[in-house]
Parts: sequence; C-alpha cells; structure tokens
Amino acid sequence: MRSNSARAGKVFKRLPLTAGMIIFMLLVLAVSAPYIAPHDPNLQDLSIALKPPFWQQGGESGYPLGTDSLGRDILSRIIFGARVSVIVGFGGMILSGLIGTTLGLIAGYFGGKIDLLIMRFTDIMLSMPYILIAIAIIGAIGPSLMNVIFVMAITNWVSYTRITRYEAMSLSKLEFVDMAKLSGIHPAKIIINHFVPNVLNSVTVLGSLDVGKLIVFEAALSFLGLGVKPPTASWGAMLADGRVYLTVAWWIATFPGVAIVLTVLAGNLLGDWLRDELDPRRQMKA
Amino acid sequence: MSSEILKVKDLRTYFFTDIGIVKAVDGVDLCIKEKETLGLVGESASGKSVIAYSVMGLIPKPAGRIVSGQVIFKEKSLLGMSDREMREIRGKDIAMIPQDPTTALNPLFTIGNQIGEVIRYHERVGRPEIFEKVKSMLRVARVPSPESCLKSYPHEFSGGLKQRAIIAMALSGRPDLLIADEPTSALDVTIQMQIIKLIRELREQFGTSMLLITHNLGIVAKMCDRVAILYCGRIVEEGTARAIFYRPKHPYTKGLLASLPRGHRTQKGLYTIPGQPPGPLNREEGCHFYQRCEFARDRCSEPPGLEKIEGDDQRVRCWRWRELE
Amino acid sequence: MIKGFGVGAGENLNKRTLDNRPFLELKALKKYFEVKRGISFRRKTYLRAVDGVTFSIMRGETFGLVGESGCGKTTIGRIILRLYDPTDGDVLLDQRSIIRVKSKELGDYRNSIQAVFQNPYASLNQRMKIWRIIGEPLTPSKLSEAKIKARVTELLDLVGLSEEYFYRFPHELSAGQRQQVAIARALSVNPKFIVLDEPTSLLDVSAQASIVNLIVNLQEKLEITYLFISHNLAVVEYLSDRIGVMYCGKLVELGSSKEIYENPLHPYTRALIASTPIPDPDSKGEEIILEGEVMSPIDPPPGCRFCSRCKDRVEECNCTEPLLKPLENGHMVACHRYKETEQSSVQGAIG
Repeated sequence: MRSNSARAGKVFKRLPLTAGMIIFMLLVLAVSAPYIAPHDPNLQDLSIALKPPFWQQGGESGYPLGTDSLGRDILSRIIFGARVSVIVGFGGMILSGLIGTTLGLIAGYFGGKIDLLIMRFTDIMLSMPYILIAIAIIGAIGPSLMNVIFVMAITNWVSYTRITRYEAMSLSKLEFVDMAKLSGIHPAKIIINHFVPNVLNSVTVLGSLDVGKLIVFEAALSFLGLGVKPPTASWGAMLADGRVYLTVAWWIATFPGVAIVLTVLAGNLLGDWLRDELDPRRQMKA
Repeated sequence: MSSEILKVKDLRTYFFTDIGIVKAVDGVDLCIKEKETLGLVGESASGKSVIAYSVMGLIPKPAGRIVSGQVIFKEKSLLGMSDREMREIRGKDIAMIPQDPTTALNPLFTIGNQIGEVIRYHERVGRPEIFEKVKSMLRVARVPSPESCLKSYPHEFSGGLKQRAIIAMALSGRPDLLIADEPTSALDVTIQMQIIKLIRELREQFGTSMLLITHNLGIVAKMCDRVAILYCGRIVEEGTARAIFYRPKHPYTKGLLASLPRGHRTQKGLYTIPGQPPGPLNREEGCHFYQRCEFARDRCSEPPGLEKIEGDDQRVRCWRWRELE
Repeated sequence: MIKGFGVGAGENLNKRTLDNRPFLELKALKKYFEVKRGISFRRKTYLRAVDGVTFSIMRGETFGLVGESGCGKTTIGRIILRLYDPTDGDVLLDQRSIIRVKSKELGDYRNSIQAVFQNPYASLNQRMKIWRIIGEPLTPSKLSEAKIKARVTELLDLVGLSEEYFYRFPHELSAGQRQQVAIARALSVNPKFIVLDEPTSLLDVSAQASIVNLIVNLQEKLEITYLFISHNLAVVEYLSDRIGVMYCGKLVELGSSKEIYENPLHPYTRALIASTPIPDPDSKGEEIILEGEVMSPIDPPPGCRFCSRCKDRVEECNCTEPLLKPLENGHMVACHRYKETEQSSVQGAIG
C-alpha cells in the first residue's frame, strides 16, 4: 500500500489549480490586509473622489483601481473587504454547519418523535424566505459583522441537517452501531465517535460550496444596508454604493462585483472537486 | 466430434489504475464444447467475473483493456469486433444471467417490456407477436400466470421469480452460449434448487452450452461437466467434474476441497489454506500460490509452470503435482 | 480422502462437557411488525416475524438455528440481543428475564450476551482504528486507555491476528480478518453467550474454514454458549450440537445435529437438507424440489404454514396448526403427518 504522503502528493497534483490559487489569494489578502493595502480603506478625501482606474485618463497609479464617491481607495477597500467576506463566509459556514449537523445526526439516530420534531422545524425554516428573516433580525438588533454571522447561522443550517440526517439513517442500520448499542455506549458517544467521522466528507463538500453562497448572501445584505456597519469595507456595501454611480464611475461597483464572482466560482470549483475526490466509489481511475 | 462453441486462448485483461496495473485475468485458456457446461470456480478477486465480461466485450474502457489473447466464438474472433457487431451477438448468440436479479431489472418497466426489449432488438416483429413470444418464454421458465406477469413490475416479484424472468430473458434469443454469473447466490436454498432444475431442463431442451461462474462447489458438482479452478487470474487446474473432485492435483484445489465442512465438528478442525490470497497488485511473477503453498520449493518462484496435459483430459499448473500424488 | 489434508470424517473428539441446565430460554416469543398497506384504514396487517417460539439453549452448547429468508431466525437473534422488544413472550438468561428490563437493572448480565454479525464491511466502522473497534465495548467500564490497549493485545492474540493490525483500518484487512476483529470485539467483555448471525455467509470458502475453526477453539477454551444462525446447512451441521429449523416465524423441528441429519421428520427439513448441494458429483441424494415461493410471514394462513408447498398435505394441515410434539432423544417436530410420510433417508446429505 502506497504511503499516505505519496498518495497525498498525487492528490495535490490534481487540485484544480486556478480555483485553488484564487481561494489561496483570498485568504492571503484577508489575513495580511493591513500590510498589503496601499491606503487606509476608510480614509476619506473628497479632493480625489471618483478617480478612475490608473489606465484611464485622469487615473493615478497611486490609486490603481480608482476611488469612490468619498475618495476612498477602491483597491484597499477590496482587500479589506476580503476580510469581511472570509470571516462571514467561513464563520457563517462553520456555525451553520455545526448547528445543522448536530440536529441532523440527532434526528437520524433517534428517529421517531425526535426526528419528526426536528423535521417539522426544518420545514418551518424552509418555508420562510431567508431575506425576510435577515431583515427582521438585523432590523431588531442592528447591522454588524457578528450579527450577520448570527443571521447566517440561523438561516443556513437546513441543508446540513438534511444531508446528515439521511446519512445518519443509513449508518444506523449498519451493524457496528448495533454493536455499540449492545455494549451500552451512550448515544452521544455513538454519534460523536461513529457518525461524525463518516459524515465529515459530505459536510466538507457542502461547506465548501456554502462559503461562496454565504459571501453572496453577505453581499446581498450589505447591499440592502443590513450588513456590516459602514464605513467598514465590504464587497456588498461597495456594490450598493457604486450602484448609483454605475454610468459615471463604473469602477466602484464593477471591481467588487468581479471579486465576488471570482471567489464564488473558485469556491464552487473547489467544492465540486472535493466532492469527486472524496467520493468513496472512486476507487480506481484510469 | 462436438464442435467448440467458445475457445479462449491466453486471455489477459488488465485494469490500469492510479496505483498500479491490476492483472485481473492473467493468461487464461478455456474451451467449451457444444452442449457442455463448464464451471469456473474461484474465490473473490480471482477474476472470474472479469472473464465473463471479457467474453461479452463489456470491460469498462479506458480503465480496463483486453491486453492480449483470443476469444473465439463459433470460429469467429470476438475481440476484433466492433461495438455494433458485438451487440448483435449479445442476447442472441451469447446471453448472460447476472448474479443479483434485483439490480438486473429496471424497476420502472414491466417484466414484459424488458424481456420484449431483447426480442425487439434482435427480431423485427410487431408488438402482439413480441408479447406472445415473451409469454411463451415465461411459460418455458415455469413462471406461474405469465399473462399477469407480463404486466407486473419487478418489485412485485420474489427473488426466485425475478431470476426466472431473467432466465426467460436470457434464453429468449435461443443463444448458443449462456454465461451464468453466480445465478443462485442471492437466492434461498430451496429456491436455488428450483432454479438449478430449471436451468438443467432448459439446457437439455435447447442444447445450450453454459459457462457457470460460482464459488459454490456444491452447485458445480450438480451442474457441470467440466470444471476450471481459477486463482489470482490464472487457471490452476481444469478437468472433468469427477477428476477435479476425486483426483485433484493442484495444492490449491486440494486445499479448497479439504476446507469444506463435512459432517460434525472435529478436534483438528477444518483444513485452512495458510495465509491470504495476494492482493491484485501484489502478485509476483512465479506461481501465484507460492506464498501459501505447503509444498512450495525454490523452483516454484519461477515463471509459472505451464499447464500439462494428462491422459485423463485434465490440466494442472504446478511444478510438483506428480510428486504430490 | 485427500492425502495430507484435514482429517477423516467421523473423528468426533468432543471434549466439552455439556450442561443439562438451560442457559438461555425463549418462552412463547412473538414479534409482530405492523405493515402499512396503502391508505386503507381497515384492519391492520402484521408481519409475524416470530410467532410463538419456545426453546432452550444449554450452557456450553452450540445451538444452530436454520431457515430461509423471512423465517424469523435473525429477528430472534436481535430480540435476544435486546435490539428489538418482543411483542409477547419472554427471554430468560440463567432464569432471569432480560427483556423489558431497564439496562441498568441488568447489571452484569448486560455484557454476558454479545454478537458477531454477517457483514464484515458493515460491522466495523471504516474510520476507526482496529484497536479502538475491539476496545469499544470496554469504554463504559471506564478502564484506562493503557488497560484497554493491553486487553486488545490479548484479544488479538486470542483470535489469531498479528499485532501489526493494532493501528490499522478495516479496509486494510481481508473479509475474513474483519470477522476475526468482530469476534475479538465480542470477546472483549468476557461474554458467556454469543449470538453468531451468519458470520461466514459472506466469506470465501478458505476464510470460512478459519473462522469456523476459531469459533470452535474459542468455545473449547472459554466455555462460551453459541446461538449460530445460518442458512448454510453444511456449516450448521458441522458446528452445532442441536439444531432448530424455522419456517415462516415458527419452529418446525428441533433435535440434535445427528438426529436432524439422519432422521429429519418435517417435510421442510427434508427439503432443506436435500436442497443443499453437496460437493460431490456422484452423490445421488434425493432431490426434493419444492413448489412455490418461501412463505412470507405477513398474514399467514391458518393451519400449517408449510402447507402450500408440502407434497404430503391433507385436509387437517389446512385447518389446524401443528404444534411441536416432543419425541424421544429431545427430538421435536411440528407436523400432523410425520409418522406416515416416507422415511426416505436423505443419504449422503453432507458428510
């Protein structure tokens, strides 16, 4: 049997290169924003407002992607916006994943009334458009980064529950679960030791696809003014700001838009690749 | 002198994977005469199903490939044929009964529809005629009330009935060769008996030759004229059923027969062949059974002894079989 | 016999001392499952998986339970393991009822009964290391990890697996080796009774032989009582001291292994024995081919359940259900006509 590191090496070679690089860059930007960004993203300077990107007439290399209506550097705001996207995307994904997976595994393991209860709960959640919930909650507690993550956790957990419940139901039928029950092991331990490692694959795939979705979600919320508090840079907020100026200063909305598209695309590609990679049926490949 | 329906010469089917080449079939010779039944016996990963799929031309490409060898069916070579030509042969001249009747039938179509599909493909006849033919095949397969069976869906049937429907489907083209891949292992013992009886009678009636693939030596004894023992992609012994059961020459065959439980438990226990079969990627060049053979000598690590022909129409792949008598 | 291999038939050196005290008793055990049939609200339909089964297993013996699909043998195993609650009846271990009793009240008895299941792929968690799998039943006992590891090492040795498998994963082992792990796991808590539910059905002939030997050796060494559930009569005959034959939720015949094979009285038992193909081309055993399908235990008819497939049926068989009648030698049969039907000896039926 080939050593694990040899196999990991082979796997690494198959990574979708572009997608991987984009996500990698995103993370780098997010982490090192204060060191990389050429300017303070919140510094307003009306004298240089609405400057076009450097390759257009009137642009400057000091502000490569131009400035917005308040004279803030677009590039710096995009870099700092990456931070928000990453925190919200990953944070929201992890939180909703935890909630959803726990509920799903419990429903799948116990079945019966508990399953019924949890399923009704998910049905209720599914019947309410997430935007409305977001509006209601943010309206009540006010816009902020943490609140956005909170809203995501509340609205996004359902898909995790569905998958993990289904898997838990199949797993429950396997004999090693019977053996654990026979030995008097506590259900919580059974779920943690036996179910969790087995659903990790599906949950990871779902999670990676979710990151893109949540970044778009955040952008939508910010667009509606329900996201992070201004003046914090966020791609969605930049879209909102730039909307009115689309005909005169296209760069304010376009660049953050491109950033969102690239990130989501990369996230989806990575997620698809992960799903194929982790599929247990892929034992041999030509 | 009965003619040879199927002749397989030095067949090698390999699968090319990321982690190495799997030599599923590694130099197999087979021969089935008219009206003869050959039992192909092997344990898991011996390559027995791969041989069946190789003959049928159903090896999944590009991962798998018939690397060398010949498959000759009624004097025509099958390996060179195009997909279209193979499709003409499948179902009409060579038919296959797969192992699990449940997955072999499409749950969305009626039994009549599925059996009729085979007839429809090979004979250009109208619907009413097809249904008549299907009914008669179902009757031949001893399916009770063929009329209502025609209109029923697979899930309404038990395993035994499904297998009968599949046998009906397989024989509807009056094939010369029937390949049965573990046709009864998914069935209960009493139902298994019914199916064995059915296959035997139909074999008589239509004069079909059969390649019966199984790991169950009891079924082999009941149904086969000749037996070939497959180990790690190679035939290690081949001969008439009586020769194999009463006068086995290869240590693996002997070990296999000795490890069957007979009678009541004994202090010594059942004979067990030591060790494990080598994984599909770990097979060495010499005799594949070398590592587990109690009688191995240095010579056995050499490239495998070729099958020698005995006076008894039996062949063995072992350097030392004479000494071990 | 084949030279140099195995041993001649008939060497029955059985050194175990079999007790006459019943260790596990099933009393009128019933398990019905409700079957939902469409949207009809009329009568409820039940699948009578186990429909009034009574027998006892003696300490130290191997009791074989045979039958085809739907006969209820697996369900009985699960009831004994407390994975199902029976609809009616009782199960006693050492004269104490073990069902409908809270886990805590069982105390020591909870670990007395363990199991080994059929599927070597489903009975081990693919993502757990072998030593954790074997040691898992010990976790409620709150032993230290070091102690558990020591015990696992002992167990690996007991079942004949090399220590190199300690930190491996199930997919690195063959099917036979996985069953060895399953057996080691069952033994970890020193059970006195093990339910073996088709442990060799999915194994190759060579793996089956080594597992069978292991099961026998462990019984000699550790004095365990076995319930061996299987549809493979050859293995059941080899292993069992006494055999019970089940059909459609009922026990139709019970007797010593020898009695059942040499003198089967129930027509179903005879058919079962005759249907098991013997690896011997010259064997001229009587072929009994049954008509029809294996009866499903959903809404069974009144009278004998085997009636529809039985060649020797009479009027009585249709109306009244035959009860298990005790004969000599502990042989019991549930058939109205066992005396009159042909006593064709199933010659050469295995062995």
